[in-house]
Amino acid sequence: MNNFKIKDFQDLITALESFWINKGCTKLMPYDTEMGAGTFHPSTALFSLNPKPFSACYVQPSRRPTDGRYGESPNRLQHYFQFQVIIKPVPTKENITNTYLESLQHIGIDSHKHDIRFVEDDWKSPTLGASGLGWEVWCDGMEITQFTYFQEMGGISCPIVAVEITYGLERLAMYLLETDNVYSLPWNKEQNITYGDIFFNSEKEFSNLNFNYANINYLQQQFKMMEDECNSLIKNKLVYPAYHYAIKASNIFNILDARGVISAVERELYISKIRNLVKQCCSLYVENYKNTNLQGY
Amino acid sequence: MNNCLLLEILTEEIPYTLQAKAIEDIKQITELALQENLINFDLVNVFATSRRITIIVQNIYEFTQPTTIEKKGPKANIDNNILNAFLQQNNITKDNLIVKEGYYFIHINSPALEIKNIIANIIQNNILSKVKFKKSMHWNSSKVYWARPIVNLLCILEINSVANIINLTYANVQSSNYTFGHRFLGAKNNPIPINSVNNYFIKLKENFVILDQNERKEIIIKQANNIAYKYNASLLNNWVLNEVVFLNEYPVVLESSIPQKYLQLPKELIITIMANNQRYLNIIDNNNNLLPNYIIVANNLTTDNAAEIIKGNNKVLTARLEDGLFFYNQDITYYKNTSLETITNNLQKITYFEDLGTYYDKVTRILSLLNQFKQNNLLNLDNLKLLLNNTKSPTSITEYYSVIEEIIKFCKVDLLSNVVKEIPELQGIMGEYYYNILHKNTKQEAVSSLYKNSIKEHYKPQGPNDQIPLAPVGQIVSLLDKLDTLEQLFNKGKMPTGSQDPYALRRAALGVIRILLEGNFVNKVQNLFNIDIKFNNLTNNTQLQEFFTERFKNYIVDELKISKDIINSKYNFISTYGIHTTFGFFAVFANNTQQASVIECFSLIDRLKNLVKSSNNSVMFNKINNIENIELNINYNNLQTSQEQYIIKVLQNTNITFAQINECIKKIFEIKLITEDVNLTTMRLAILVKLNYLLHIILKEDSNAYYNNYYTKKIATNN
Repeated sequence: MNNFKIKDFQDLITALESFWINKGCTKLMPYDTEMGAGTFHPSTALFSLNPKPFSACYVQPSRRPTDGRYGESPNRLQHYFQFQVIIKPVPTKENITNTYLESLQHIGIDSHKHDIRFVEDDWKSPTLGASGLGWEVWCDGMEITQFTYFQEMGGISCPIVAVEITYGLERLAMYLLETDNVYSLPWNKEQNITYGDIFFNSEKEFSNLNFNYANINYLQQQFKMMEDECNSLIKNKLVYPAYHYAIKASNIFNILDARGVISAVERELYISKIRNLVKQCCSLYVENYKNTNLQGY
Repeated sequence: MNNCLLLEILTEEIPYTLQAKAIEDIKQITELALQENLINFDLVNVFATSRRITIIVQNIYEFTQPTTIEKKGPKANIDNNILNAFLQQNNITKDNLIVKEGYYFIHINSPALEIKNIIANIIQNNILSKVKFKKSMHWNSSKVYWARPIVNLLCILEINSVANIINLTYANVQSSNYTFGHRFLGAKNNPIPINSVNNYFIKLKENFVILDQNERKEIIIKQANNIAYKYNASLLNNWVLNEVVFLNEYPVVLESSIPQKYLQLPKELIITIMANNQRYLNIIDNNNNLLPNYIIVANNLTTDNAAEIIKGNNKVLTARLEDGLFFYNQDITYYKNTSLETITNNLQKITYFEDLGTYYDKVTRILSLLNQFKQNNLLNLDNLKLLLNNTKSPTSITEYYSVIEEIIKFCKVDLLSNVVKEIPELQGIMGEYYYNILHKNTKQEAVSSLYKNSIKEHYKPQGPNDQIPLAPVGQIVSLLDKLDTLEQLFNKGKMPTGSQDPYALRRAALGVIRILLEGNFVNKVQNLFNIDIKFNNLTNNTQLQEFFTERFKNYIVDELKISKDIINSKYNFISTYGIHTTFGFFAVFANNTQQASVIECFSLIDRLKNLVKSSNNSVMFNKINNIENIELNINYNNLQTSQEQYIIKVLQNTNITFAQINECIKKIFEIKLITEDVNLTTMRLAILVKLNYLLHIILKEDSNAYYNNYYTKKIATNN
């Protein structure tokens, strides 16, 4: 396995993809609706409940409206990229933590020079009704990866445990390329295109949207519509479309939250509504696809 | 070389709290498993790093203990049919039977077994499967739960210098004849073959694994102290140290420094950020000031002498502290430019509790409680004046109350601050800093000792090992705050049940009681409060009154280690003298040499009470009930018995001891109290009542003395 010398952001993506493809993962595309984290991708959230083996890797753009800083913070963004790896079942031939450490070596984090540690972190997603046990992986004190063994998804105990490895791409890139400001990260070094060239303006404008301009009425109506549509699709046993709308509902809630109109009590209410939608989707998924003789997921 | 059993369970990194508990549990589970299976041994030791737990059983016997079990059978003269059935049932012949005490007995001999043949099963079924973690996970088709996935099992049984690799399986992991060293040093991820117990220890050491947690801790402390000594300072001893011992297999202690820019931040903020987010160790000087030098405990020896590690950690620390500085500056700007009134009004934005309104409402209620305390004389005005006089300050009582009001208005304000929203555990601490910034030159220094740290400390005591607030104002605010919480939640029916106390109401009530008991000794004011022992002037809620009483009694049990029964039996009698004396009284009780005589004394008092009651002479009783009239009833010339003479002599002393009163009471019961001579009877009953009265006084004085003694000692040892 040749170690890459990463020179820009796109190199980092290529390096990670090539490494995990080499380990048997299927390279997937990001899911095409807004979501808060790669875990929401159906190939993670839903497939984790499928009894058939599955391994994939993909880049997932993620949106966290409350993290917006109008482009003024050197390292906090409301839109950023996660690199997701999902492997099920947990590999037995090679220990997955060792494989992960190999991936770090592969992208240029030399274990002879750095202090790499697995620090306890147990992960919960209230909206997905999901939980897992695992770690933050620290490199010289900085968190670069979230490493989780799923135990529960959509309120259902995972029959076969999947391991999810999530790399924070911007953070990793800033570390490897020794840049203190995300916007100065080279995205395409050869063509002299930086991260900021592509995203600075949209960060600023989306921050404005999320905090100041998004129409609250429309958002509230949209949430209701997504919820209703999801429920109706579940009744009609269309699990993938239903889940699609559940994710949309979740994103709308995130924007409402950034808009500052959600009280503590309402937050609990919204979260439980979304969790309810996701739970129903997951139960429906299990029912539809529990037959392991079925081809596909 | 002694016989030895070694079992190593290699896993992925297990969280510190789970691993620390597992070490204790596994030791006990192993000892029990061996005992249950009749295997003798000398000692079980358990070592652990984040990635492995190793059990060493020293001097394990090669064989189990042979046993004979006796099974009782039918009567010796039983019918042959029944006997044959019995023999068949137990698969034996008549030769296996013995006769004893008229019955047949079977002796079932269990021979000694070679443990080599049974140890695998014992480990699988009696040890590994008995281990329970507070939080655990499953990860493969075995569905076994462990804290983190098990990677390797290694089991060696050394008998008579021969090392046997034991085969066993758990969680789909087949045991091996190798182990793994450090993840990054030595053999790294390559298996290290192990052929004996000695070899195991040597190979681990060679491969940068320090197995013994105590050894790792010593290394860290020693190296960290060496760094601290360079600056004439010492290591801050907090929870981080114990956790850091389990965040590595080979501790490498590194020194770095906090960028100058952030040293202006409150030290608690810096330390909390560094500990919670990064597990760094801090250094403090003799005056508890934070030094800029800090310690990183890494898990790797690098080729560049840790240059990259230190550089990376500094970057992360800078980012974290920059965040902290950003929030802190926002807060300071806000507090400097906003009036106290506006700041307090903003408390309307935070909900206190469902149905109980906002924190603004809570503060309003606490202010009104202060007012009630003033009006109902629950704050001892004279002692408060004394307090002010002692500070040689011209501050009046009215001004003093206004200080208390201001502290109350400000004590919850930091809940709105950016720092506390990020780091909730800093509430109170940040409030104190922000308050001092607001009021830099507006309060007289002389009085400041009366309210210093009140905001920071009004949450205290936060546990049995925590102190009560030091300053009188702190004690007042703390008590009022807790009282409000208790009253509001009790009124809503949210009192604790059994083991459920989600709102920590027991702790709150105990805090109130401790302030009442200990306050005198830390603020040097006798009785800041005039709270009745029934707590009925503290609150109107009868359930809450009872709750306070229960907590008080339980506190006495815990503090003095005497039984609840004794407390319940004497409580009503002594509680008429108030909270302090009551506590002191039970302290007398706990002092064993006094205990017997105090108990005896009480039983005599009970007889005495019954006697006075049964005298049925209410006129006489009423006459002598009035203590001033007692002297008139004693006719010194009519002392007929030696007992009366003895007693009167004692009563003429000025310093009567407890022992003497005890003796007098015994003597008075030796003579006939109720006689035909009315005057004689009256006199004798009068003596009895006087003795009772004096006993109460002495008990009270003794109790107060014990109370003073107890807390003086306690405060001294705490400092």
